[in-house]
Amino acid sequence: MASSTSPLVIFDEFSKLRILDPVQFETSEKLKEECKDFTQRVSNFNEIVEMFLKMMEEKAEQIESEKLKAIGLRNRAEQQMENRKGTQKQLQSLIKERQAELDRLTVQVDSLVKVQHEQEALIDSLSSK
Amino acid sequence: MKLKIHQDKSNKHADIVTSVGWTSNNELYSFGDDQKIFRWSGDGDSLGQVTTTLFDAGQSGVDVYITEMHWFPVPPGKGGQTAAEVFAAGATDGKYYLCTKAGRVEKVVEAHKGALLCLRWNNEGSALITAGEDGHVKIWSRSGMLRSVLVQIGYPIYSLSWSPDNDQVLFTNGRNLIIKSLQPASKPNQWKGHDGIILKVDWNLVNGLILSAGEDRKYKVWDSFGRQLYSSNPHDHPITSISWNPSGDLFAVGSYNSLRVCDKLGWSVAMEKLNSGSIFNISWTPDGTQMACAGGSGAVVFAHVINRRYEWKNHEVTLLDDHTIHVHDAVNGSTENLDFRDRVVKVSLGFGYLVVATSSQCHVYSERNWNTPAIVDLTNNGRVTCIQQCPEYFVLVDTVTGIQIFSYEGRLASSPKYAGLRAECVTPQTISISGDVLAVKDKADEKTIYIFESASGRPLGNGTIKHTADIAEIGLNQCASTVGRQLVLVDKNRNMYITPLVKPDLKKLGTMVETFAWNADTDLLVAMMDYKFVVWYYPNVVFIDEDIAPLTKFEKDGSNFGKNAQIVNFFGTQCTLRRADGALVTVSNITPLPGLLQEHTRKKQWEEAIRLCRYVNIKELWACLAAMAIHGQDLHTAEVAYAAIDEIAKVQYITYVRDIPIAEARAAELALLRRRPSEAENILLSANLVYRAIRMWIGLFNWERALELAIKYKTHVDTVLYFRDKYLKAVGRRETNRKFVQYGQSVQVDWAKIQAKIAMEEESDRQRSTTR
Repeated sequence: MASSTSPLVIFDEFSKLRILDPVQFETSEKLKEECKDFTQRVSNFNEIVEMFLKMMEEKAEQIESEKLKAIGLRNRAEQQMENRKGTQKQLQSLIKERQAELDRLTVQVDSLVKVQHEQEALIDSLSSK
Repeated sequence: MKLKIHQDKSNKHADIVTSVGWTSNNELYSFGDDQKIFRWSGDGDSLGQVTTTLFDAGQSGVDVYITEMHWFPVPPGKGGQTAAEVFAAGATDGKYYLCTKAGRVEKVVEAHKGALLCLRWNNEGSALITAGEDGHVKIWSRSGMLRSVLVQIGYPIYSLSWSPDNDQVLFTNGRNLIIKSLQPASKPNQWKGHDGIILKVDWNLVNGLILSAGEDRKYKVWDSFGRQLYSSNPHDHPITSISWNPSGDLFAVGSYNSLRVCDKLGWSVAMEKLNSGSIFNISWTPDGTQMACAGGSGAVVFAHVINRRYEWKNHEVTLLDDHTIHVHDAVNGSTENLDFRDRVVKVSLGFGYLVVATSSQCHVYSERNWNTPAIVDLTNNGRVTCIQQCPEYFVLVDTVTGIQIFSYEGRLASSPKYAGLRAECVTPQTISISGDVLAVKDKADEKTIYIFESASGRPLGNGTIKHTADIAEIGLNQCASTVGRQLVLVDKNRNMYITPLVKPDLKKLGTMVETFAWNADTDLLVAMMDYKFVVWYYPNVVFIDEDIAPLTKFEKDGSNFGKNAQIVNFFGTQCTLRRADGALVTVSNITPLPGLLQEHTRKKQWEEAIRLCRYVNIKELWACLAAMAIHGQDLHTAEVAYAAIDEIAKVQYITYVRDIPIAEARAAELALLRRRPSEAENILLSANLVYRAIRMWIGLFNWERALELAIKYKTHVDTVLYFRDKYLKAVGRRETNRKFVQYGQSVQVDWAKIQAKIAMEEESDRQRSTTR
C-alpha cells in the first residue's frame, strides 16, 4: 500500500538518492546494528556455555574418579573387615594350637613338680634317719 | 618342634600346583595347571623349568592337565641310586604318562573314562594302581600293561594307597573308606570314615596306620582294621592333603593357607600359616626331614621340621635346623653348638653318647667331650633309617649297607645280615640291642625275630625266635649276662610275652599292653596295661615260680595317662610317658630296691639280700628274693623268703629238698619246683638216678613215662606196676592202658621185693652222698 502511495525515488536531506524511505532506512540500519550486536552476544553466550560445559565435564570426570576412589576405599574397608575376620580366625587357630601346647607343658610341669616334691620328701626322710 | 617355612616371594607357577614329588637325589618336581613342570633344589631354590613333551602329548586337541604324579620308587635294598628314574603322571584326559626325569614321555596309557584322579606305585615298584572319575580302580604292570580291574563303583575315587605288604589297596568311596585285597573274590572291608567327601588317604609302610582327610574339615588316624585311633576337631577349611613321614612317626596335614605336622597318635606337633592357597599335595623327602607342598595359588612351599628335642639324664639336645645341634647340660649349665656340613638325618641320645647321622657321615659325641666326635663315614649314599643304642654299642640301619653295629669309638663291631631286610621298615620298636645280642623283627614274616651276637654278627642259637602271632614291638633287657638275656615282645593282639634268648620259651606276661620298656640299668620292666601302670620287679619269675609272679608286680592306676600312652624312657627310678594328647608325664619313685636286690643276688650275696628284705620288709621284695634264690639255687634264702610271704607249702618243700643228700637230686627237685619235669628228668638221668626219675613220674601220675623209663633202664618195672595198681584201686577204676595190662601179666609184683629194692636204692643214695 505504501509503495503505491509513496514515491519511488526519494532524496534525503543530504541530497542522496534513496529507494527506501529514510525513516525506514534508518530503522533497517538500526535493525542491522542490533542484529550484529545480537549475533555477537549469541556467539559470546555460546563461548561461555562451551566453557561452562567443558568445566562441567572436567568436574564430572573428577567427580567420577573421586567416586570410584571412594567406592574402592569403601570396598577396601569392607574387605578389611573380612580380612580381619580371616586373620582373627587364623590367629585363633594359632592360639588354640599354642593353648594345646601350653596345656601339654603344664601337665609336664605339674608332673615334674610332683617328682620334685617326691624327691625332696625322699631326701628329707633319708637325711632325718 | 616347629616348622621352618621356605616359600618364594613370587609364584613360579601361574596356576594351581597339583602335584609335587621328590626324586631320590633330593630334587623336587612340581606340576601345575599352567602346563609347566618346575625343578627345585632341596633347599627350595628353583632350578628352572623342565622341558617336556608331556603337555604336547594330547594329540586329540584335548589339553593335558596333570592331576597327580608319583615317582617310581627305589626298589628295596638298592639304596639311593637307580639308573633310570621315571615317574607316572595321571591327567584329566583319563590317560597316564610314564615319563623320564628329563621330561621325555615314554608311554601313554589310556586308563579311565573321564579324568584320572590318583595313582600310586606299590612299595616295590612292581605295580601301578590308578583310579579315576569313572569309579574304576585298575592295576597295571611296571611297563603299563593292564593287569586287572580291581573295583568298579559308581563314585569318583579321589585318593588311594597301597597297604604295607602290597597285598591290599585302600581307596575312597565318597564318605567311606574301602580296603580291598588284590585276591579276586575277596570281600572288601568298607567303613564310613567322614561326614564329608574324603579327599585324601595315606597308608604308612612302617607302622601300618591309615590317614584320611575330608571335606568335613577333619583328619583321622585308623589302624589297618579300620578302627579309629584319632579324630581331629573340625578345622576352618576342608583338609585337602595329608601325608605320612616315611618313618611313620609324623604326618603332615595341609589345608587352606595352613600346614600342620602331627604325631602318629594324632596330636598336633606344630602348625604354620602359609600364603599358598589350599595345599593340594604334600611330599616328604625319603629321609623325612623336609616336605614340599603344592599350593592352590601356584606356590610351592618347603617346610622343615626343626626343634626336635632329645633328653637323656641331664643332657638336652635340640636340633636347631638341619645343620646345627644345640646341646645343653642342665647340671653345669654349659651349652654347645654342633655344626654339620651335611643335613642331619637322624639323632639318638643315650647312655652318655650322642649319635648324629648326617647324609654322609655319622658323628659320635661323648658327653665328656663335645669337641672331637668319632666319625664314621657312611659311604655309598645310604640313608640312615634307625639308630638304636645300648651301653656298649650302637646300631645303625641304613638302606644300602643294612644293619651295622659300632662301638662308641666308631669301630665297626659287626654287620649282621639276614635275607629280606628292609631298612626303611626298621623302627626303634622293631630292633633292640644289648651288650651281647641284637634282635630284629623280620618284615616279611612278622612272626619271626632274628637274633645275632652283637660282637660277631653271627646268629645266636638257631638265629630266630618264632611267635604264633604278628609281632608289634620287641625289647631286650640291658642288664643281665647272655644267660639271663631276655626278650619281651608285644604282638598285634597286644599280648606281652617274655622269653629267654637261650632256649626260647614264650611266657605270657599280660594282655592289652599298650606300651612297655625295660629299665636302662636294671632288669625292671614297666608296661601300660589296660589303664594300669605295671612294674615287674623281677620278670624272670615267670620261669621260676608262676605262683608268686603276681606278688612281684607293682600296679598303679594309670587312668590319668589315658589311652594309647607311650613310654618314652625309663631310667633309674623314673619313667616318662607321653600321653595320647602329647603331654609328657613322669612317674617317679619306682622303687630302686629290686634293682639292688638283683645286684646282690647276681653277686651271690645272699646274706645282704636277706638283710635288705628284712629292713624294707615288703612282700613284693620277698617274693622277688624267693624267685631269685630258687634261680640261684640257694635253699636257705629261698626258705626264708618263702616263709616271709606265707607260702607254707613251698617252705616245706624246700626243707624237704634241703634234706636230699645228692646235689643233682636237689637240682632236679628245684627244676620240679619251676614246673619243668622234663628238665628234672634230664638232670636225674644224667646223674644216673633212674629210680628217682621213675619215682618223680609216679609222683606226677605220669604213669606211661614212668613205665617207659623203667622198661628202658630194665629196673623197677614192678614198682611202677605196684603203684599204678594201688592208684587204680584208690580211685576205683580198672586198668585200661594196654601197656600196663601187657606188663601186668608178664611181670610179677611182689610188695616185699619192691620194698627191699626201694630200701636198697635209698641205701645207695646215702652211700653216694657220703662218698662225695
